[in-house]
Amino acid sequence: MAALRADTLKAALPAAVYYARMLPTMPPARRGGWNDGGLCPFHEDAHKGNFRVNLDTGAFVCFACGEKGGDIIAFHQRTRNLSFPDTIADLGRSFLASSGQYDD
Amino acid sequence: MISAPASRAEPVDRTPPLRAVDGPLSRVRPTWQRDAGGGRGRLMRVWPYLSEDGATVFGAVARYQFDGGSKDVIPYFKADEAGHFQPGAAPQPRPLFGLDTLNREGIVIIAEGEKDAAALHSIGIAAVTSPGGGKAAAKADWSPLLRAAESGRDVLSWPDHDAPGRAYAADVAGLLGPACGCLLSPPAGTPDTEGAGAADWLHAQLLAMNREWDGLTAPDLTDDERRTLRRRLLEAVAAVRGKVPPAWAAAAAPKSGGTHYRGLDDGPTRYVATDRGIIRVEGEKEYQLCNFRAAIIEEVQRDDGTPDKPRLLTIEGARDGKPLPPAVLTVEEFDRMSWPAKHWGTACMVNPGQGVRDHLQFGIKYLSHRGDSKVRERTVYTHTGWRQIQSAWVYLSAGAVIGAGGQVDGIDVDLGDLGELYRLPAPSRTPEERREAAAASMEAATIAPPEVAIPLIACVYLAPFAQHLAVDLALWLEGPSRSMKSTLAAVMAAHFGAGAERTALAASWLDTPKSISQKLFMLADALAVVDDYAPQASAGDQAKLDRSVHEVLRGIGNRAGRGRLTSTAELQTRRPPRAFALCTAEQYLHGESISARLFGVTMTPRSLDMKRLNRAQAAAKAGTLARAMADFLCTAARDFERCRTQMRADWQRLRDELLSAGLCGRTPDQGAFLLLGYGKALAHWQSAGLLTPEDGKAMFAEARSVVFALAKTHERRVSSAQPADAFVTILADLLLSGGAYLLDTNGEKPAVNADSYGWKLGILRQRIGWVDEDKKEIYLLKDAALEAIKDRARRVDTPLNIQAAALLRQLKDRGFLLSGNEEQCDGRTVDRTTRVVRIQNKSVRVLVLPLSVLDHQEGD
Repeated sequence: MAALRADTLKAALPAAVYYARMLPTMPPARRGGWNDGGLCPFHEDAHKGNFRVNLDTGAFVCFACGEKGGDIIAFHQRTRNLSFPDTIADLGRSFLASSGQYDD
Repeated sequence: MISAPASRAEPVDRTPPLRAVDGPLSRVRPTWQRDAGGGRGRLMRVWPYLSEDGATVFGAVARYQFDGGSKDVIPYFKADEAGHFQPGAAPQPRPLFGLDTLNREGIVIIAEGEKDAAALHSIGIAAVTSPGGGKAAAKADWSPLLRAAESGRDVLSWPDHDAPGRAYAADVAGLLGPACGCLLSPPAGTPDTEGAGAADWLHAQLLAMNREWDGLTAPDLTDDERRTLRRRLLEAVAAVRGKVPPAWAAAAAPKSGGTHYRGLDDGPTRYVATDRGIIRVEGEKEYQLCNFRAAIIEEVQRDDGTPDKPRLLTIEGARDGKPLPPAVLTVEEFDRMSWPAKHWGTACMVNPGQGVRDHLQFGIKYLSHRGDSKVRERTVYTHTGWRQIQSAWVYLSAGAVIGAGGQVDGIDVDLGDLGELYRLPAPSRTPEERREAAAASMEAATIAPPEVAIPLIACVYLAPFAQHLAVDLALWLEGPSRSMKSTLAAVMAAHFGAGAERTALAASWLDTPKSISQKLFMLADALAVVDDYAPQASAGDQAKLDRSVHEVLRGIGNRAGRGRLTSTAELQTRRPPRAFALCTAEQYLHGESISARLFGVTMTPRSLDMKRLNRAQAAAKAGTLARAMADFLCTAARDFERCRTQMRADWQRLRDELLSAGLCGRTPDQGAFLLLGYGKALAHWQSAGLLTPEDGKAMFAEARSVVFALAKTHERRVSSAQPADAFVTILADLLLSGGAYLLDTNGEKPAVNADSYGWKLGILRQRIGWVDEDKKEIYLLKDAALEAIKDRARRVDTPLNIQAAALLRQLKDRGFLLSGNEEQCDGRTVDRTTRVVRIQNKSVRVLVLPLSVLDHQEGD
């Protein structure tokens, strides 16, 4: 047993799944890669189209406020204002805890 | 809709090669400019869409070719005021292409695209397609086809050999309902290229006829050629037709919510394959399960024709970024999880801990089936012979699988080491090839004298029906060493694969009985040579060999496998012999029961025609004999059910004939089987043009007398192996040779025929009884006689392995033993086998035999 590592987390939690839950204003995705992410969670956004997310890598960018990052860990860290290790642990607890779906 | 020019003729392909000078299609452009500087394409072909009566033009589709090989297909369905069609799609529901061919007889094929449909039109087949590409099937008006299907016509969809093709077929089947069938795989003769369709099939056929074809214009064919191609195609189609598999529809079905990103389908996973190995994630913790990656890439179901169909998994893996060789495992081996070290070395480690192995095997399965990385699934057949696959009968071999239309692709057969020996080639493509192969097979039937060659070639052509006719005999080819039995058997076996040689035959009598039985099970409906039953150096080895032979032959005679239990004491699935066994041997077997299960054929040295043998061996090696068998099987597959029923009726008739001709026991059945097989061989040679019907009749009449004579000889052989017959033969021999003697009832040397009663040499060895010349009876002392006869039987290698009571009962049944005294026992009257007689004033209990048994044996 060891603490969840970043590469394991990213392999276990697809960016598309994460953003589908975390971005309620994001329109249904039709493909991988860069997509419209809906309203930017980092500023008071009223106009769709500024915030883009990459559903393959987890990268995000807002053309209005300039917030950007390379993966879902960066996104989660900034929206929750957590340290890097705490972010990973939080993501693990939120998304990867035992649900009885396929083991245990 | 605009009326077509009245001058439209009725050729097979009515499509004008290029645009018309006048009429509704005269505005089809000679070139086509793509948008955004995409180049200019040249008009290659115009396919008009006509009504069912051919009188109305709905529009057309034009094909333009661009530099670099790309093409555009442009619809011309928008009629201008002058009635000329301009570029534009047809209003929905769109008409089908090829409606004007629906009045042709036979099946209706739904092709993918106008090019394929037009190719089918050119050989006289009704074919349609919908306009607008494979994804627009739902936009077309399919009502003419629904009507055709309702009126009982066969409607079959021929998908291109790729995923979009199958999706189109599924779409069409969805629109037409269950009346629409499809071609489950490309028909025989289609090139093995992605996306190959009807035009590619026709192209391949024309290439084989050394004919050039551009694929677009109607090929210039004579009526005969057109009919031949049509017939060939219909045969090939019949072999691969079936219902549209649900998997095609599933692949074609739109994902929920329309276009949609697959990445959302899978959700988070708690098993992850990384370069460090496979890891289980549990909340904020991770547990390493092993230090390698592994994934199931293929599941193979091995089908041997029994309900047990074990699966084999192919696992691929990597450690430290380096790939590991694929490992093939049973499901049980996989679940035990001890295979990584066994297949990939101890550097591939599974972490210790409770439940780790369970998590790892689950994780590998889970990850293998997750996302796009689907596990390939396929069925591998592990036997030869007939199987009904997707409602069509096919003959499996390690090489070509033969169906009604020739070679059937897409069916895997794995026979292991036997694969080299049972590898049929594709059937002949031309009548000349077929004739050449049949001629080679016919010559192979003349390398030995008729009494050997006829039963052997009969076995070859009977073997494909061994299971379906429940053939319960084995051919026992007996001959001394160096009589070239194995060489001859190999030539016959080469009908099932070019790999058969004298030194490479299916099985040897020195194999274990289990191994021979397994081979006879695998080689269903094929000729399996079991080679070399020869005298062994020691009595122990001989006894062991005889046990093997008895076990195997009893299985063949009863068409039953040996019942076995599994490790959990449940009955295993029986695996009865399904092959036709041709056994070579240096001697016949002892025992009536086992001899009756064989049909004996005796070979003498130097009886083979060496020149013909050389030619037959060359034909065997070149695969010509096997091609003859492939042609034969191809014909049989066309109407297998009827052929089978007819053969059963023929067998019954032949059996009745042989019975009334005087055969008895099992020999009428055996003779009828051999004549049936020989009849099939003659019919095949006749159909190849090698024999006239009169020749065939004459050869069959000769075969009938040969088989009858062989059956009579075999009956005598079986009879002499009968214990009662053996008893009286040995008794007569014993007395004649002086090994034992009889006195007369006065205790003196018999007055007459004393030489026949053991007095010939003047040396008296063992008295076994008395003879009464007046009453014509022999009185044998039971124990002394039985002991002497059994002892002699052992020494002449004809052991009488039967209990005394059973032997005496058989002697009595056959009239060799006269009735004994009736005695009272427990209030009942018992008929004894012995009788009390007065000899030399003493009462003696003896076996009473009529004196004629000795006369008969001497005379014989």
